[in-house]
Amino acid sequence: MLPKFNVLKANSIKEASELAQKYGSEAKFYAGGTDIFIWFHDDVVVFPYVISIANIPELKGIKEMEDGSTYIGACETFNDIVSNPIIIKKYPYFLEAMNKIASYQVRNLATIGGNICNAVPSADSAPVLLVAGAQCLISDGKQERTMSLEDFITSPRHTALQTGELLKGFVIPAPKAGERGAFLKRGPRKAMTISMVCVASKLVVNNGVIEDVAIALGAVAIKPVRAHRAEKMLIGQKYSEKLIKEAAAYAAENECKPITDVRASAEYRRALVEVMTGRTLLTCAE
Amino acid sequence: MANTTINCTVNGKKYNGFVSDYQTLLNFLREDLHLTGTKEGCGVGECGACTVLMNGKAVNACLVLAINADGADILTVEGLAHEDGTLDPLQQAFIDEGAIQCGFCTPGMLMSAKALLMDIPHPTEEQVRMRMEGNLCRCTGYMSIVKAVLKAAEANE
Repeated sequence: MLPKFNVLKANSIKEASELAQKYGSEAKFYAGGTDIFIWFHDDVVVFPYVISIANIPELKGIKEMEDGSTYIGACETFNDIVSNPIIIKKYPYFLEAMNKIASYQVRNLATIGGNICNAVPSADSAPVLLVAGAQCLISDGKQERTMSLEDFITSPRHTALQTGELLKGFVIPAPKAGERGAFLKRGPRKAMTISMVCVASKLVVNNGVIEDVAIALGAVAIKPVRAHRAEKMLIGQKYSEKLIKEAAAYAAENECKPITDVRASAEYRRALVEVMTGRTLLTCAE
Repeated sequence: MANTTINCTVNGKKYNGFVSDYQTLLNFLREDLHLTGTKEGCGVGECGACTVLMNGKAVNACLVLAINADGADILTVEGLAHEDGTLDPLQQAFIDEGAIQCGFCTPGMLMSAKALLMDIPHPTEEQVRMRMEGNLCRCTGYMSIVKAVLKAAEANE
């Protein structure tokens, strides 16, 4: 049984925003409920009110924009995203991450916006969205603003959202010609597992020269992070396995701050970052 | 605490329920409708024992609020067999392959497998394993369970 709470149903972003402002810290948004009801069940935290945003039409939809970018509504479930033809065609590496989140049943409920708004360092959808350069569209029903995903998650369980604001969706820039992406996660077990480390990479190699690269690391810092300095080592350089391995080693040494916890030691996580960064980049180049 | 009336179809039968906001679909099925085939294992979406189909999609009933099942079409393990008692090919295959030990995970396994075969009538072994990743069997009878699902799929046209 879950502890007692009240559900407030919102039919629009404006309604949800007004409810959030009215109830303040007493209320929390929920969409899929696959995180929040677990906290409630395990007595981690219980809010007296939850605001249901799962059925707000403005939070749904996956569409191609005129400039070639793609919009993903925050309340799209992972299973809806991985079966969407636009995503499959333009960002196939999203599937590698989003098919690995929890279980199939959970992915029928859990939303991409929820995964990001929960803002845990190990969120598996974050690294692929980071390397894709995702922008977060934020709305309170009256005004909208955008912010890069890098800035949106601020620390564990905290985002840049102000009270009354909702994450409406993501704008994913159009993939560049020849772009390849890859994602790897390592958990204590193969399936239904929380990442000890997850890594996404994106690479464009043209005539043997690295034209574009992005690397994002999960579960090894206070939030999912881009490895910008390792990327700088690669961009504009002639592609070689040796250079990739140097950049991967650099990322592991200098661009993450893993901790030791119940899932893995800091040392093991750092070793994983090196191997997994290298492997994802090499996969992109295949 | 607010109580809400919900209307839903469970195993083809229409129900009106009067549910609390904080009541899960699992609790509604078991305690209000007395459909105790759906099991509560972990209560936190990890074991899959409570798997039911909501509008054709496999979900953990322990993570769905009953009020969110308003208007939904729910299929539980009780709805798998035909009215005359003929078992679903999956149920028969589980029996034939001995894919049951203690049986606690079986309803969830069957419902996950049902959703799989509705989407992919002829899955590969890997597809079966991947789609059933959210169903735990503490007796570790996975080999027979996978075999049973593949056997049931053979009967599909």
